[in-house]
Amino acid sequence: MASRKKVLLKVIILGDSGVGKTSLMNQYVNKKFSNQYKATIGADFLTKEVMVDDRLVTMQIWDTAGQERFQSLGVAFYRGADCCVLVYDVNNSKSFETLDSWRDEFLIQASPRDPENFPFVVLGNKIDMEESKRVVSQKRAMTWCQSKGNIPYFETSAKEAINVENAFQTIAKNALQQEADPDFSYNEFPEAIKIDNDNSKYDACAC
Amino acid sequence: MSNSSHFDPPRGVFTLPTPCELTNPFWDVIKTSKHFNLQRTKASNINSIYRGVIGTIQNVFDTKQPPFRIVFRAEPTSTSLQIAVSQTEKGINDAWKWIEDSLFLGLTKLDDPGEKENYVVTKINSLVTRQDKGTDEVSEDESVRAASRAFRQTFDIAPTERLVNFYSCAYRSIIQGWMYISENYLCFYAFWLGHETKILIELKDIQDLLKERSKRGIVADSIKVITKGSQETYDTLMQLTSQSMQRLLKNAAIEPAPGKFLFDSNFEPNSDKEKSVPKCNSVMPRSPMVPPLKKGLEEQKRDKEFQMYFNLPTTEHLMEECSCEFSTLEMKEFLNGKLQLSEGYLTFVADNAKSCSFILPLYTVRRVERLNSKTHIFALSISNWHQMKLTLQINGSKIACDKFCNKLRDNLKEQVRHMKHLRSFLSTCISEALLVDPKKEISVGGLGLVFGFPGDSKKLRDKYKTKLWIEYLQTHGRNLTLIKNPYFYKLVRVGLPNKLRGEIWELCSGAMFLRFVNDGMYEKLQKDYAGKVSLSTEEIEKDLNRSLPEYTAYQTKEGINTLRRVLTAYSWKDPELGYCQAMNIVTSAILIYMSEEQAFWILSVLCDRMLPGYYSTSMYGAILDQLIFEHYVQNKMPVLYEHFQNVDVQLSVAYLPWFLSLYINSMPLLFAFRVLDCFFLEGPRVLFQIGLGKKALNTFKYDELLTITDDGQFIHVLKKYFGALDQPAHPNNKNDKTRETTKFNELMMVAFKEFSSITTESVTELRRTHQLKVVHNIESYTKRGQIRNLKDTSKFSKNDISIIYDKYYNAQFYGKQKSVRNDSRMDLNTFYRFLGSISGWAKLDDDNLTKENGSPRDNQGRRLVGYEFINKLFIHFDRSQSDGLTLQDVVLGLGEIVFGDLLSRMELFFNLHDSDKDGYLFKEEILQMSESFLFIFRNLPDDGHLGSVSNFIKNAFEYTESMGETDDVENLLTEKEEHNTRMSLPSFRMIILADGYLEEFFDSGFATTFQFIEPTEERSKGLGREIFNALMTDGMKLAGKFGKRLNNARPKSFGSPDRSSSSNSISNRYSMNSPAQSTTSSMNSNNMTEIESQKSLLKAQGNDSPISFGSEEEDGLMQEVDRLLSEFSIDETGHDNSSALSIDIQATGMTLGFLLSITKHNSGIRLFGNNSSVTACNTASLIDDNDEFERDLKNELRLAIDEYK
Repeated sequence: MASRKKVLLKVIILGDSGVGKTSLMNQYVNKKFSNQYKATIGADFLTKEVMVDDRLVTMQIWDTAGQERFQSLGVAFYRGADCCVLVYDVNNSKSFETLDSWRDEFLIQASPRDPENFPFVVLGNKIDMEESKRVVSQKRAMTWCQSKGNIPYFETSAKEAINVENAFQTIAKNALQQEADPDFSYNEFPEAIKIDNDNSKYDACAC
Repeated sequence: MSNSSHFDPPRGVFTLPTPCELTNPFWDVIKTSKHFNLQRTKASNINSIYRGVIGTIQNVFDTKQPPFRIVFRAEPTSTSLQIAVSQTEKGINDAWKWIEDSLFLGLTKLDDPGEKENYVVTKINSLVTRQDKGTDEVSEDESVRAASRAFRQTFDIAPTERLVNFYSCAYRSIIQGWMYISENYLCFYAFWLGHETKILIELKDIQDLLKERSKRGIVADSIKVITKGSQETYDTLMQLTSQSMQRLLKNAAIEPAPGKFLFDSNFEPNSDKEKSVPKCNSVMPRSPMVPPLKKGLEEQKRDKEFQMYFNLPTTEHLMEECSCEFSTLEMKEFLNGKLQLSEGYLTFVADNAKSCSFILPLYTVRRVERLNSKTHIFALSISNWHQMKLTLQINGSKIACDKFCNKLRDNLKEQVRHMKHLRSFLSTCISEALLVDPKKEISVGGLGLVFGFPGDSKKLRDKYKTKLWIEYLQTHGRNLTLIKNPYFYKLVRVGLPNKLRGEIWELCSGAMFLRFVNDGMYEKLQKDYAGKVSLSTEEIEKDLNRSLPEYTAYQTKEGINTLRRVLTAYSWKDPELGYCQAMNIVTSAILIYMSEEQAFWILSVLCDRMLPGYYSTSMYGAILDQLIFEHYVQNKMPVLYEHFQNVDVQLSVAYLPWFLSLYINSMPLLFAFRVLDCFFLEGPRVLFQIGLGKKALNTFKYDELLTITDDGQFIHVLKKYFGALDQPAHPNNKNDKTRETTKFNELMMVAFKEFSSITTESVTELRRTHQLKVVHNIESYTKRGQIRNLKDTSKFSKNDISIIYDKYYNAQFYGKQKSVRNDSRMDLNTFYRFLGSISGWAKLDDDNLTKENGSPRDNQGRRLVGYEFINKLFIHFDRSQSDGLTLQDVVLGLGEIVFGDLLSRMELFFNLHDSDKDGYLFKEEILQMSESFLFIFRNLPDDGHLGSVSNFIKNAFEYTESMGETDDVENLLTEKEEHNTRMSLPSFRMIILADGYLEEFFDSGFATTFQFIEPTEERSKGLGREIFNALMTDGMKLAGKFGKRLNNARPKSFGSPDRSSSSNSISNRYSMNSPAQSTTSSMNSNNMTEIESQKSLLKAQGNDSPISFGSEEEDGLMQEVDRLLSEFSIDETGHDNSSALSIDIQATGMTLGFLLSITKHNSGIRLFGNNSSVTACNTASLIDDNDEFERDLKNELRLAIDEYK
């Protein structure tokens, strides 16, 4: 197995416009919060090296545009994803209701081998806002997650850095499991080995 | 109710009176009166051999003539006029009756033959123009009229469909026939020796159009001629498909427009929008006679090119054009060029486009004088608002010059009214203020004036640049009157000075003209929509702080408000588009240099012209340009392209965002503005050039890109490069000058030098051709989304839903075209069409519905009673009572019927007819219900239903009478009239259940009338199936005839038992209503007779028939068949469409004798429909001269016969 090799994990963050996808990614990777981010057009990504179960892995985290019409652009980079993070804003119930369609569309576009068991993680963001503004209860979110095959659920705040590290640890772990899944053995992807080879070069400039 | 006392003239029978031969060998006289003759073509009842031959000859010479006609003649010596034609005897008899009824009396009162003729001609003319307003029936061109009629009757196409052009051509290089191109369809029709070939393709289904030389000449050394005709077809087709695609794309945005006002669905966006977005098919008939559509399309295309070239508003049309020599006082010489005139503008472009051009709005012209020129007949001197004198020496004949000048004078007069705005408008142009006093404070302009412009103005040499510009503007005119010369382009390339930047952008992009013409619109939008919200305004709100947060203005309320106002105003102006992320970034950037109103209009130019579809709900424009970008990469950098293909890196991942935000997000801001300078001047090609330049740069090694193996690395490398644009490109170079060159300078150089071959024209052309591909991708996405968003799928399977979706939008596609309603929901007329596409009994000739006072008729012209049933269904489906159906409404409504049971369906029927919802049906309502029954059953072959329906009426009345007996006697006496015909739901049930026929109808029959068949089979208005079935039958016969050999050669050809069985499987009692099915059966019977004729033809071969092959030739024939089959099989293996295959076989068998005559001339157009492919070979050159063709045909025939002997 590829256990001793460095692994590249591809993580896709999806969710409505303005739920805090970019902020979460930046909080996790750069440990910073800013309210000066621009709206994400198309897609962008950051990488971070983390230790998961004693293994050094590189996470390539893809941040996406939230406006619905951007979905029709055919999101080619979904393919080969190891984990999908669905984000909603706990103070905005519509952003929660659309999770279903984000999930469906992801499964169609990424067409993973085993859609039933593909790892998703749900994040309810912006819990730092005052409680009175909150419209999606923890219970409601958990129920939904359970109904979709026990998706792990976290309540986060990118602004206050609440639960972000924790959530991404789980994301990395689940992604790695997906990667190590016998169904996805490297033998079937000769080019996947190339990725590893090139990674060293690539990482050097990423720092 | 109906005005049966007056005898209505039958529809679609009368033609504009056309001179014709009364005595013609092809016609038999059936009925005759003093002035009228009713005739029938000889072909229909003579010897079957001649029938085949005559049919063929008629088809080759002319378009197909309907078998019946009525001819008028004032007196035996005067010319005969054809006034009516019909496919059926009944149709022509109706016409005859009407003539007897309405014209005979009038005619007897007139004596003079001239008066008689006048009388009839006027009568018929007014009848035709009244009935056929806006159709080809009233076309000026007789041949178009005839062809259009033939086309519509052959293909059962609505009378309002307008023919664009028709060509003689061969299909699959074999069958000689006619190709018709209309607004929505491409059709082929051939009639060869008794066999018909019909092909119908919807333009919207065409995915690709390629022009190629026909490779499949049957004669090896066939002469291939690319005729002008075929080129023209290609162009016209491109344009038409393009329009179909545009409509399709518009339609794809099916959700309520996001920018639409949220709380009032009937709110009309604003009337100005209609003006700025003219309808595609704006060929409105002004006089009763309309020019052929093709002419209109050509003009439309020319106008479009003209508007694109000069960035003029879409309201401008090219009116006059001439060559001329141009000069000003400052210019040393006269320049040759082209002068063009539209309603509001006079434009000039020199032969070398960059050397000189101007766009002069006529409202800026102060004076036009005629000069005495020694060298030219005509010379004009034009003084404009800015005191410039332009001298124009017009070349050409005196007549042409006079015409041009007259038009110019008229248009100038028309435009004078705009002049009064000029002064106030110019006060908003910075150039005016700068020229008066460069140091003066400027009040109107971008945020930069208050918050400072980005960058170090010293380093940018802003003062120096401004000085150069002032010099230029002083001598070459400014804002509205500017003349561009090569120096202008240079000045733009080096970067515009801060203060002038906005105005030059506005000027180059043409937004300035829009702003001038639509004076006050921006403010009006602000006022009209103050405080209103929409989905778009909500989205805008989210993004205001996420646009250009690093610029100080956007950290203040003032800046944010400015941005909000512009974006929301635009979302109101174009609610279909609303707001798209990335617009905020572009707008926030340009607002630094432009006033709100300027930014608003440049946004409109961006969305409508420069980046069409980029920001639309499907973003098709962005996808389209990505395809084009990849196309360029593939052509210009094949190595790199191949590498990316190998490692599966998607270029679009990186380039989409950059194109969408015009590089503003991805380069340091200052450089992005330099790109914008060029972009507004030179159009969208700049985006491509910069994109390509970036990859091709030497410093930025190819090698590095070639090592990339995934999307992430790709973006990373490009980003790194972007970040370093301000660094020197050659830091170690000894030469000072070279060292100063930044990477950005280098990028610009490479972009514009190496990729200068990318022109606006090539981008436009590529956009047009690739459009076809994008549309079908987007459609599938939108479809998925729509289906997923359905809250309730009402037990329908995924497949059923998918079909309902297709039919729903198909109906919308054709329905929308004619209505101007800006509503995504389905209206009643479209609902007719939709229901007709899934259910046979609901099929109406929908175009009759749209005509005034029209109630639908069946194809014999009988008024249809009971069609109101569909209206009732519509109202029932329309749950929200919004006078429109969403997809959800339709799904639920259909689900209720299909998945209901006996009781629920009876209840539905009852409620539908209980118009006052009081729980009882009264006399009128019961009668309506029986009419509904008759309507639904009207196409049934047997008469069983008649008895049941009359029983129903009888029982309904009987039962209610018996109910009356139990009532209070007094009550009965006083209110008998109303009460004795009252029926409640339970009694309705009882009556139905008492009748086996009706019981079965409610139990299963009604539900099974709804057929959810794959649209591919249904695509050609039922023709696909019709053709297929006909071919199946004929193919089988042929197979029998030619025996095993044929089967061995192509066992697959006659396979596909699934298809045929599926068409049989639905032939239960009710689905006999389905239109495809019924036409099929009639088709089949036609075919039977045709097959008979073929048989006799074959029998006759041994005799002295003129075209006998002799029986011993059969072997020769067989060899040819084998050869052809093997030839076709190479091409067809990929196709699973058996109808396409069958057509080959057919062709081969039927027309072998004529092969040689046709295939000598071919040049091809190849079309790929969704499921069928047609090769049409143009032989227009052949038939230019009919006599010649006849001679050729005879020769070839003789040759063919000789050869087989």
